[in-house]
Amino acid sequence: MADDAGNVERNGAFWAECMLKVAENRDKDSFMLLFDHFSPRVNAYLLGQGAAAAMAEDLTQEALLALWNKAHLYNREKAAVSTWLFRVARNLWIDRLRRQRGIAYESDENLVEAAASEPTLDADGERLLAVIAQLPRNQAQVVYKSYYEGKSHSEIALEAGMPLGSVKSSLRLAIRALRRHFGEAQ
Amino acid sequence: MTTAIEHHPSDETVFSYAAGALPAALALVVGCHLQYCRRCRALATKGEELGGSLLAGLEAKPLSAGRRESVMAMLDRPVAATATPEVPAANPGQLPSLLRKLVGHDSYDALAWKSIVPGVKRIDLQCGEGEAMLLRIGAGKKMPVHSHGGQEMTLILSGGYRDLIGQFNAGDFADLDGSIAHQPVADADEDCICLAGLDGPLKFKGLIARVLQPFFGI
Repeated sequence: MADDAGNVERNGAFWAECMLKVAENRDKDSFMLLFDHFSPRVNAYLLGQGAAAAMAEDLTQEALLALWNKAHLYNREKAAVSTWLFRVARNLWIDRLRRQRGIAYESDENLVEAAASEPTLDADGERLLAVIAQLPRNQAQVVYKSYYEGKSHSEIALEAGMPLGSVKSSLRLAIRALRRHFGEAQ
Repeated sequence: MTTAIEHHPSDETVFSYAAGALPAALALVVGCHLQYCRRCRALATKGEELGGSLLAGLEAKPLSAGRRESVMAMLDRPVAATATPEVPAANPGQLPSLLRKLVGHDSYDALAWKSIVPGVKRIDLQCGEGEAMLLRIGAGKKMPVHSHGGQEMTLILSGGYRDLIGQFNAGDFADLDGSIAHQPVADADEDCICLAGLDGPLKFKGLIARVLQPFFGI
């Protein structure tokens, strides 16, 4: 999906390529491209989770530095760069602010190794977002609250005044729609 | 694994785990199941891919001035060598590594079990959100009938039990909501050791109705 030279589309394949250059050549220019693109998004994710501004920036910095220091563990056959960063940011957040939850996840190194064997399509991300965009409102809302706000099923039920069972079935239907998408994409 | 895992967490449980949205006690049980179960690991990866896509689609919130420069200045610092990843797979009879880290032992017999009713022993695990515990049901013994107001998740670590849902063996996962009252009966030939997590009303204390179980001591 590359355009004319010098005007390369910045898609998943492009970011995976940057990771490769960081891993193999310690290429700072590639790293700064990754930093400039992803750090504002990781920051937005952490702010959405309820991190205070300074904490969100500290953790964002830490996540991006982990990407610099652990780039050799990245395997483009197993995960998009955005997925890798999501895991790192999620684990940092859980570890730092909700220390208790940190007992339940593998370290980043293990997560990379434990990834599913099916390769991720580099351009899959936007199609996934399109699936989410087409979900009924209550389903999209449960996905949103789970991922962006880190809310448990019980917390969502309480907040939305929904029975726990409805929260679960909304999420289940959303996942079913996503799985249909995954099924088609492979 | 010699026997196939037949009971898995629900899809929504695995996705909430991937989202980082399960209370610690439940996340611990799911995390340990993932160490046994390739199928659920693959599903969790899908959940993480969704997380990555959502992250990539977020509206950018730039860092404050100076952050970029300070990160650039850190790139030349030497890095401590990264430890070789442990093998995450777990086998029946062996503590999953997440649990091993938490209790500091790799043998069930080395743990300080406390008897709660005849035939059933328990160890409380400190996890902060919700309640997590190891349960050891003696061979052929019954658990008291119980249900729970919130969510109850159980992973069989060793041995097996049968209840109204079916037969559960090492690696199997029971993902129950408050509506089910069950009475597991351990297999006759060996103790059944389980990891159980209860959704705790930690943040909204008193607001979530739950059935207090004298047997759980809560």
